[in-house]
Amino acid sequence: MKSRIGILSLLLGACSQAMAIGIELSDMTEAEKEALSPREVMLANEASRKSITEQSNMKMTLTNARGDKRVRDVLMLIDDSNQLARKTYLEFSSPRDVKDVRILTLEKEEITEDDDRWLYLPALKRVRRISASNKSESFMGTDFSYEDFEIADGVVGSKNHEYTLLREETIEDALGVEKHCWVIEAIPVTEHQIRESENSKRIIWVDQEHFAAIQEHYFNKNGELFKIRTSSDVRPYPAEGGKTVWRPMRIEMTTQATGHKTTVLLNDFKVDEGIPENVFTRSYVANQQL
Amino acid sequence: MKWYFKAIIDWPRTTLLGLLIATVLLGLGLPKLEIRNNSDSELPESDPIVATKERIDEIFGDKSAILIGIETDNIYNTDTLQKVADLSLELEKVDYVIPNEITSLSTVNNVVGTDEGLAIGTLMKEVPATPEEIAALQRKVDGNDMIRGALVSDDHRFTAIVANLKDGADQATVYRQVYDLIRKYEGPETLYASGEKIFSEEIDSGVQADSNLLTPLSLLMIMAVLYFFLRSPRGVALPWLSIVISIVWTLGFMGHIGLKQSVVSSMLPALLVIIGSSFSIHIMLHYYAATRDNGSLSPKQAAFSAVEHLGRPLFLAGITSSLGAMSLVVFNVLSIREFGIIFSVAILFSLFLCATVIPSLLAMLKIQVRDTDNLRGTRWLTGVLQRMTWLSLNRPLLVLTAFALVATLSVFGIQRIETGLDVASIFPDGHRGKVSLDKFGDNLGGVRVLSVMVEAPESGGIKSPEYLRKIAEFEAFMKEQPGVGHATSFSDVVMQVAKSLNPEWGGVGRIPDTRNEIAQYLFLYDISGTPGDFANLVDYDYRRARIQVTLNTSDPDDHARLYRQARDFWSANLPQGANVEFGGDTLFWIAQSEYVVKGKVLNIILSVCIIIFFVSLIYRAISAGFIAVLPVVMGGLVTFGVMGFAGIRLDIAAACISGVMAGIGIDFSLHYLDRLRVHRRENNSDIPEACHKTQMLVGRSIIYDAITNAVGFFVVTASGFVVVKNFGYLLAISMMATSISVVLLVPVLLLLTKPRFASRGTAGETTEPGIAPERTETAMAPQ
Repeated sequence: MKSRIGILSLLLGACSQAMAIGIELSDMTEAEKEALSPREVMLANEASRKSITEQSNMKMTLTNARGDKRVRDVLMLIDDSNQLARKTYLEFSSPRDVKDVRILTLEKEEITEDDDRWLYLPALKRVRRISASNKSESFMGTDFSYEDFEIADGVVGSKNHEYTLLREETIEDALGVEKHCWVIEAIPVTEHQIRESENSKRIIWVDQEHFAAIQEHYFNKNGELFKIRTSSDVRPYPAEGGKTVWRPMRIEMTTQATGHKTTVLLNDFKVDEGIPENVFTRSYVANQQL
Repeated sequence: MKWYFKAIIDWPRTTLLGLLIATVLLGLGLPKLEIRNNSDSELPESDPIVATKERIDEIFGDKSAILIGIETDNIYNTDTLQKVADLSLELEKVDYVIPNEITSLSTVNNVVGTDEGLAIGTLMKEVPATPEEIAALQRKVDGNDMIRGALVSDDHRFTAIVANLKDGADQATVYRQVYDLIRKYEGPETLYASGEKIFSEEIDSGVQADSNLLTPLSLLMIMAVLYFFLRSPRGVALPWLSIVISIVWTLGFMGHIGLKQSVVSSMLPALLVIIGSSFSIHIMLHYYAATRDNGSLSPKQAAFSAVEHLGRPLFLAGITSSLGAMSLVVFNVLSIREFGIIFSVAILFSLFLCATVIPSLLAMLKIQVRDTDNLRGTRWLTGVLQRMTWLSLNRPLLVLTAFALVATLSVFGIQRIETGLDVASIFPDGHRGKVSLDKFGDNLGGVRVLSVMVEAPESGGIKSPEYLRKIAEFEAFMKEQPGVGHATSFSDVVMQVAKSLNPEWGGVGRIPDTRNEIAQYLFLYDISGTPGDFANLVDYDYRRARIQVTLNTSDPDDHARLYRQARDFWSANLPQGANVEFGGDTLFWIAQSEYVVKGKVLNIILSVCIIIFFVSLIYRAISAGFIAVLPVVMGGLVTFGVMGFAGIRLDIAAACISGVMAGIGIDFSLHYLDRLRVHRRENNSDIPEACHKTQMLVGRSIIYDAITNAVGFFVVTASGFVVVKNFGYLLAISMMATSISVVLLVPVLLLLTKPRFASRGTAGETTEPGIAPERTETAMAPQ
C-alpha cells in the first residue's frame, strides 16, 4: 500500500513551478488576473508558495470543544528537492515530557511503495520503524489529515480535479483583514483521487493579491461540510532563484462535527536556506549527529 | 352540591353543550402532546449522583451511542470485513450520528508491534483481500487488548460498530435508519442493533403496541362486565362516555400546559378508566336504587335522586384521591412528580365529568328500572355481599384475625420486594431487543456501563506510574467480579503501546516505570490517531482518567453490589490527594431505584397522613380517619406483599400504581362511611342494619367496580412486556384487595369501636339523640 504523504506542502513555497503556467505572478496586471481560468488560478496558487526546502518552529495548539488546549512545539524541516519524494523531519521540544521525540518520513518515488517512517523516543533511546499512514488519516493527531498538507491543486493536483469558479467576493481572513478572492470549487475526477481522498468536494477562497488560499471548506464523502481551514498572516519570503514566496504564518483547521480545532503558528520561518542532507537519515534521528 | 346537580339536571342540553365546547377546546391540546424519553432528566439536578454523572459526562464528552453487531461463523473474511467498512461509512449518513466518532475495525486507532516494526494508525486501512492479509489483521486484533474482546469477540464470531450520537438525537429516527441499514446489509451475517436510543425505542414502541392492543381490549372487557352487572346499555354507555371525555381533557390539558408524556403518564388513560368507572358505578347504582324504590319518578327526579346523596362522598372521595395523587410529588424522580400533579388534576376532571355527564344525560333519558339485587346471574353476588357483612358483623374477631394473618404474611412478602428495573426482564423472550442485548452481553461484555473517574490534584497527574498502576489494578479487580464483562481504561492504552514498543516483553503489557516514558508512549498513540481518540478515557490535560466497566448482568442488585465493590476498592487504594467519582448509566439506575424506594416510603406515610387528617377533619373525629385508612393500608399491604412473593419489582410504574390505589381505596371507604351514616340518620338503624343496607348499595358498587376493573386489567397481563404485564397484575390485585378490605373490615371496625361520628347525620351536625349504637345479633343472616 502506498500512502503519498506530501507533508506540509501546504506550507511550502518555491517559484520553480511559476513558469509552468507561463506567467510571472508578481508582474501580473489586473486584466491578466481577470483572464485566468480557475485551473490557472490554482496553478498560480501553487507557484506562489512552493519552495525547495523550508524550516520553521511550529507551534501546534489543539483545542477541544470545551476550550481545553494541548500545545506542542516542533521543529519542522522539509526537503522537496525531489518533487516526487519529500523528506520531512520533525523534532518536538514541548510538552516537556515528550522533548526530543523525533520523526522522520521519507517518501518513495514509486507510488506503490510504502514511505519509510522512523520514530525516536528518548525514553526508549532507540529508533523504531513505524508504519505509513493513509492520506485520509489524521496528521499527528491534529484536525489536519496528511492529505490536507499536500499541495492538492498544483501541477499534479490539477490533473485530478475539475475546477469551477463559483464567484468572486471579498471576505475577511482570520485576522480580520479584507481580501478579494476567487471562490473556486474543486471536485476530484480521477478514479484514484476519488478513492483515496476523504473529500468529495472542496471550496477554496484564493486571495487575488498573492494567490494565497486563505480559506477552504472540505466536504466529506456524504457531501457534508466537515472541516474548515483558514489561513492568515500571509508574508513574503525570498526563495531560490530570486523569487518571492507568500506563506501564511497562521493556519487553523476546525472539524465541524466535534468542534475540535488545530491552530498552527509558524515561527522563524525560512525557505531555501539549505538543510544538511544528513538530517533526513535514520542515524541523525537516532543520535542527532550529522 | 345539590344546587349544582339541580342546575345541570334542569338544563341538561345547555350543560352538555358547555361540556362539548370545553372538550373541543381541551382536545385542541392533544396534537401538542409530546413524549419525553430522556432518562437523564428523571432525577433532580441537585442530586449528588446526577451532579457527578453530569460532571463526568461533561469532562469526557459522554454521548449516547448506537451499536451494530455483526455475527457470522468467522468475521475474518473479506465479505464480512467489507461490510464492516461499508457500514461504518454509511452510518455517517444516519441522522444525529457524529461522523468522526464511529468506532469499528475500519476506523479504530491501533498501536501494535509487528514483524515490520510498529504499526500505528487505523487498524484496517483497507479491507484485506488475501488470506495472508486477513491473517495479519487478525494478529493485530489479537495483539490489542483494547480491541479484542471489545470490538471483536474472543471466538471471532462477532464484531461491533459503535457510533456516537449528537445530543438530543431523536430515538425513533435513529432506530428507523439503523434498521434500514441492517436490512440492507443483513445476510449471510446476522446483524443486531443496540444502544440506549435503540433500546428505548424498542421498549416504547413495543409497550405502545401492546398497550394499543390491550387497553381497548380491557376497556371492552370492563364494559362487558359492567353490562353483565347492570343489564343496561346506558349503564355502560354513560360511564364510557364520561371516561373517554376525561381522557381527552387530561391529555389535552397536558398538551396545553406543555407537560410531556412519559412512560409513567402513559398509564393515565388506564387509570382514568378505573377512577371513572368507580365514580360512575356509584351513580348508576344509586340511580337504579331510586327508580326501583319509587316508581313514580320523572327522569329528572330520578337523575337527581341518583346524585343527591352522592354529592358529598363523591366530592370528598375526589378530593382525597386527588390529594393522595398529589402526595407523589414527594418522589425525587421527575416523571413520578409530574405524574402526581397531572393525575391529581385528572381525578378532579373525572369526578366533575362523571358527576355532570351522567346525571344530565339521565335527565334526558326515559326512566329505566333495574332491581340490581335480583338480576339473573348476579343474584349469587347479592348472596356473597350479604354473607360478607354477616361474617363481619357476627364473626368480627375471626375477620380481624384473618386480616392480621394476611397482613403478617404480606409483611413477609414486602421484605422480599426487589427494587430497580431489570432491563433483561423488560422484553419478552425472543424479542429482538432482548436477543441483541444478550448477544452484546455474551460476546462483548455488555452495554451497561459503570464509570469511575480518578482525578489527580494537578494537570498531567494521571501520567504518573502510581496512578496508572492503581487504575490497572482496579480494572483487573473488577474483571474478576461476576457480572463484569469488560473494562477499559487509559492504563490499557499505555500498556498497549508499551508492549508494542517492547517486543522483548513477550506481548504482555505493563505500566512503565517513569513518567517520561509513559508520556512518550501516550504521545505516540496521540499522534497516531485522530483528535479525541481516547477522549472518553482521559481528559485533555491528563488530570482525570475514566475507567469504563461494562456489565453483562442486568440485575439491579448486581449493579448495586458492583458499585459498592468499586467504591470500597478506591476508598482503600486512592493515591494521596486524589479524588474518585462514579458515574455511568448503571449508577443512574441505582440512584433512581433508591429514590423510588425512599420516595415510596415517604409517599405511603404522607398519603396515610393526608387521609387520616382529611377524613378526621370532615367527620370531626380522629376515629373516622383511622377507620377509613385501615382498609386502605390493608389493601396496600396485600398488594406489596403479592409483589414481593410474585417477584414484581418496585419500579417507577409500580410505585405510581400503588400511590394511585390509595386514592381509590379511600374512595371506597368514604362512600361506605357516608352511606352508612345516611342510613342511620334516615332510618334510625343500628350499625348492623345500616351495614347491611350500605353493603347492598355501596358495597355492591365497590365490589362491582373492583371486579370489572380486575377482569379488565387482567387482560393486560397477556402482554409480553413485563412492565405492561405487571401493570395489569398490580391493578387487578390492588383493586380486589382494597375493595374486599373495605367491605369486610369497615363493618368490623365500626362494630368494635362504635365511633361517635358514625352515629351522626352529616359532618358538623350534632349527634342525633336516640341512635345509641348497640350490638345486636342480626337477623339478617344469609339465606
